[in-house]
Amino acid sequence: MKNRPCISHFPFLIFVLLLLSGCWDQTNIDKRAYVIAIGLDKGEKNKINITYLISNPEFSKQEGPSSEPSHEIITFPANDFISAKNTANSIVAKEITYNMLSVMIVSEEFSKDPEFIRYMYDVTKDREIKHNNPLVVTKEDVSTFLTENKPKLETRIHKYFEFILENANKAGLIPSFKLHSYFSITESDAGLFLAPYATTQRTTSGKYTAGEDEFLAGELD
Amino acid sequence: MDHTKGMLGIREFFAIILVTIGTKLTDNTPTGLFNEVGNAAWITIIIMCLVSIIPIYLLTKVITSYENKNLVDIIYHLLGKHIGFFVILLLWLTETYSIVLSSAMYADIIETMYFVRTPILIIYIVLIGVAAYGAKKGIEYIGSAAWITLIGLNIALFVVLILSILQGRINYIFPIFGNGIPEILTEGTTNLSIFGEFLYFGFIVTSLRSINVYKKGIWIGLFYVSIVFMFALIGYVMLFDYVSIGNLNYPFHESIRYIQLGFLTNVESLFLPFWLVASFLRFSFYLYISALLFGALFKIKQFNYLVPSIAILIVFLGLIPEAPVFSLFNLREILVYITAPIFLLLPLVLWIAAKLKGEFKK
Repeated sequence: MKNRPCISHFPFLIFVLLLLSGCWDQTNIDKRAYVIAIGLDKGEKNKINITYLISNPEFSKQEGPSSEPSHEIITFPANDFISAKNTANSIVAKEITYNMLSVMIVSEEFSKDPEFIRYMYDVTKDREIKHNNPLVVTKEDVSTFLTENKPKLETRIHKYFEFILENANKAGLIPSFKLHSYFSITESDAGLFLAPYATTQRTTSGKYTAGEDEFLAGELD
Repeated sequence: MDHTKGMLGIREFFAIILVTIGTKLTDNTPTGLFNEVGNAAWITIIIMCLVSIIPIYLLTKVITSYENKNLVDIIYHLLGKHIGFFVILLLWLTETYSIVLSSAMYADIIETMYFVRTPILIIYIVLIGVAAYGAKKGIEYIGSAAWITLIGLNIALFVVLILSILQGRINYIFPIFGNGIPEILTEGTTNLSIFGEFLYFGFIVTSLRSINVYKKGIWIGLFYVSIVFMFALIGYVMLFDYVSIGNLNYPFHESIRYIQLGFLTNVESLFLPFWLVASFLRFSFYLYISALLFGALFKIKQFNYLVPSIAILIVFLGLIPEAPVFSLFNLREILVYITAPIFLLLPLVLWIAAKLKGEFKK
């Protein structure tokens, strides 16, 4: 008879499970639009053009893709990329979220702008943007870059950026600097932030670099 | 039945010290330090620890010379009825003010970092409600709950610290003295309020198993907390560098969002429960002390029953500040400048009074 209170209390624990669903902050996966890449271009009159690469979550399923496209790219002018979330909802039906954001892309023109860091400070104010996302600079406008860039085999676009940045970094082609180090390097004076440089334009001279393999250690100056 | 049942042993006492003071490194206390002294904030902790040895030594000396008296009785005994009343009132006011500020801050942390859409009133009510339940149960329950969760809290904290030190850059801690030695010294003494809670541990001395528990626990607690605090500040500065960290209000939460645990990238939900439990325990202890002091002021024996009303008062006071990120930070600065002299001078005054009365000769 001693154990009885314990057992009779046990069913009440089931009610605790109801609390797990949360009240205000519950969100459904199928009610959100996941932005994989944010592109920033210089716009007119101190505004910026924002490009969203929104992934189609159906493509991560095992059963294989449906007839829908794997991703959607939209470009629109905005003041900053926090309020842009709401602006984008005039085209995209679902709620925009940066939770799955895997890369931030900036055009070369905009990254050279002295005002650039001011726009980047919004990163620190939006809790959904993680500071370990990489920052990539493109030669052309980001909107052209994202539309031109069509990986043939990696249709699941949310994996594409993750893989290419990881493996290109392993090969030593690009530095692995994140948004986090962008701030710490730029804020402390006399620092130079090195970002991966990307483009979809083919260079006209398709020659091999002369003598790429013919150096000994210490020869290069 | 064991006659020590319901009393706190050294484990529980140590756990309470760690939970109440250790959780401070997860709110915006470090930001204040980093803003003033740059990357040398961890050295100020050493200074603080060394400076607070003096008041804690004097206090321990006074408390150990009495048997079965807690700090309230000692203050009344040494300073007389009227000055004693005034001193306890001052302590109660600063304590309650600090609960209001820090609970509002914690509600703000939960709201801005984790539950964005939940109204702050609900978060606040849940936070203080759970804490009030713990405080109502009494210090023994807080102590054993703190001891049970201590291992988990420590493991979680050390995982965070080790990861942030491994993923940070060692050259961010240089120049080692930051903004200069004079700044370190002044900030080290003015920010003593971080360790100001050590005063309040004197109030639960009658709930301890023996006076030796107090004597040992308070020293182990002081040094352990200082070391953990120091490593946490080193970890933050190695992860963020001193300029960025001044802009982050809650460095602990930013760092658990940044660090990666092997292949796991979003680890903040792993550490949130531990932090929540620690905050619940911290506010339980604060509420308990606040009720105890209020009871001592107005001669209320069953002060447990005061906890719910104090809790409700705190919820409504804490909801007053608008834009909590900025206002709480500035309000806390005021508190820092009030509590530091109290923490330094009160033990000295008590010790002198005890010396004049010849209490140490017995």
